Amino acid sequence: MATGKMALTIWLGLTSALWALHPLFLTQARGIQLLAILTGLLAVWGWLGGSAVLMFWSALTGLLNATLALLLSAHPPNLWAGLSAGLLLFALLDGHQRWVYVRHCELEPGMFIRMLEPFIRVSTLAIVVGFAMGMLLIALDALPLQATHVGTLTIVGAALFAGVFTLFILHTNRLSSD
Amino acid sequence: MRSPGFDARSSIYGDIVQRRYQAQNYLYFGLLLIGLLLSTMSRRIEPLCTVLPLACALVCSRLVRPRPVLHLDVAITPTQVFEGDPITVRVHLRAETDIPPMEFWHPLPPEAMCTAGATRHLITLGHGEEKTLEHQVTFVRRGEYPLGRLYTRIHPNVGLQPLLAEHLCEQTCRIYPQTLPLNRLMPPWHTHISFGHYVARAAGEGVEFAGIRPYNGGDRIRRIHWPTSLKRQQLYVNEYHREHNADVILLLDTLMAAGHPHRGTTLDIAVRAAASLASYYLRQKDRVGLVSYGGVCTWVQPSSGQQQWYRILDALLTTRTHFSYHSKDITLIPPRVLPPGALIFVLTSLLDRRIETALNDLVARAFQLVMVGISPVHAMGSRHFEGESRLWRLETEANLHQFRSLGVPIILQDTANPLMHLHAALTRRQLWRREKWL
Repeated sequence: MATGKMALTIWLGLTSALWALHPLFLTQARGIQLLAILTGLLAVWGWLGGSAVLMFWSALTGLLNATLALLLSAHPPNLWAGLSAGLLLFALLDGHQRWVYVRHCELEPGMFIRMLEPFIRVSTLAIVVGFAMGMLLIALDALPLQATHVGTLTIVGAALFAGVFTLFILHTNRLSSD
Repeated sequence: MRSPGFDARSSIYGDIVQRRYQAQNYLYFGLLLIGLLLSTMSRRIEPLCTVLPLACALVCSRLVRPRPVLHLDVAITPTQVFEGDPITVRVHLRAETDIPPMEFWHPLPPEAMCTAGATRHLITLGHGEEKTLEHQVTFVRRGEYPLGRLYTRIHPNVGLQPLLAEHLCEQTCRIYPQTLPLNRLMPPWHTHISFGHYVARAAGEGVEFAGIRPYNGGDRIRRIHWPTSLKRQQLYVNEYHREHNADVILLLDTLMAAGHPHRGTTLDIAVRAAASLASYYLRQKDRVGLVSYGGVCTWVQPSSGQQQWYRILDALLTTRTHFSYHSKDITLIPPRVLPPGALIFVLTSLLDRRIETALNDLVARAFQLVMVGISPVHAMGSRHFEGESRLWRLETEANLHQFRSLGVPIILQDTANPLMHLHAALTRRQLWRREKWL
């Protein structure tokens, strides 16, 4: 049990640090550094205090920081950079949720491995979906379209994605409450 | 006191399961929308990729719908204990399907403490696997408490939609007040002829040997002392001391109580004192009765024996303060409940001055009174204990001066043991001298 708790602590500490430092791999501007520190502080505070809201704020700040870093550095589009940040974010949020349980419950032997399984499953799925998305973007880039059309297509696609996903979530919620 | 215990078996898990939504769902969804917005605004793919695992987790949690089946057997032993005694809760789990990480917990009443084991577990079970979880619970306050309401929360997949189940295997545990040891003899003044532990100077029916005397007509043959009779060539019989017992009444002041609602109040301390005194005097074969004097006046008629001990314990278990602006007249309590010459222990917090009217009446009726004042300062766990305790003592001494002058022993207690100085007070004979006009 103590080993499991220690392993989860190391895991959370590592993901918090990596998540906060991720934008600094792209650029080391002063503003990005400050935001990275803020992200890290919020993550550690939320993790130690068991607060999901603080973890959300850390995730939000980190996401904004990463986007700003991408825009500032004019880094070429990179699917894997986004995916690695995404996996880190998921590991941080999911690990925090599990940490809250581990803090209040007595952990049975062999539980730690079982707790890692969902993370591995979702990570694999995210990589597959990300790869499919990348392929789709490459295919779209190959099409002879004007820049304005691409922009419009992106906004329409994003809106469609959000709409469909919202409908899906609402629909499954209704089903599960039956 | 220990009861045999209780076994309960819950229904099949799948029948009472509820799918719950964690707050994490909203956070994930919020982040997903923000990532999408940032991606659209910045025309970069990376923010969308960053929130992609969150979208995958949300989709997975909604698509996976496991139907775990779990059986629970709960055994609670014993269900009748004294304060501070452990109750063992043993839960036997048997899985009919694979059970993903499952949080299992047993919420306890605020008066209870888990002294061994844990009430929350995070476990996983394979198909057909069995597991037994055990923990011990101790109650710090008397009362009737339900135990055995268990919860399980299964976290399938990423745990965003856990399956919550409530298992009602409740059993009421009766926690009786703790009895404090009273080993030294505290004899009452007035006794009457009956079987008991008090030995009279006069000879009569009893078991305590007093001497021998010549045989008179009507004496029992079985009482003949044969060695002396043979030696003196005249019949002699054994004489025994007559046995006496006393009537002891425990008067509980339930007009008002102060203290912590979960840790204990002055009434709880008074109840412990009453249980200890009842136990002691019943062991002496005295007749013990109980009167709860408050907004509602209840009593247990004096009697002796083991059954009376359980009657008193049951009455003490449910003793509560009943505040009322209308104070009861103690003269209405029938004489069979307050027999003449009874030794009355008044257990009071002295927070409500109306108890003094009742005490005046009892003193006037020439009862043998012993007053035990329970300090509210101790029960409330004040930070400035020393000063407040001294103030309380001074104020109470001033209020009870008239009783002290009449020879009523008054013991003011500001410790956890309400009977600490009782023996010293009862053996100080000058305190028992009463005014002639009474």
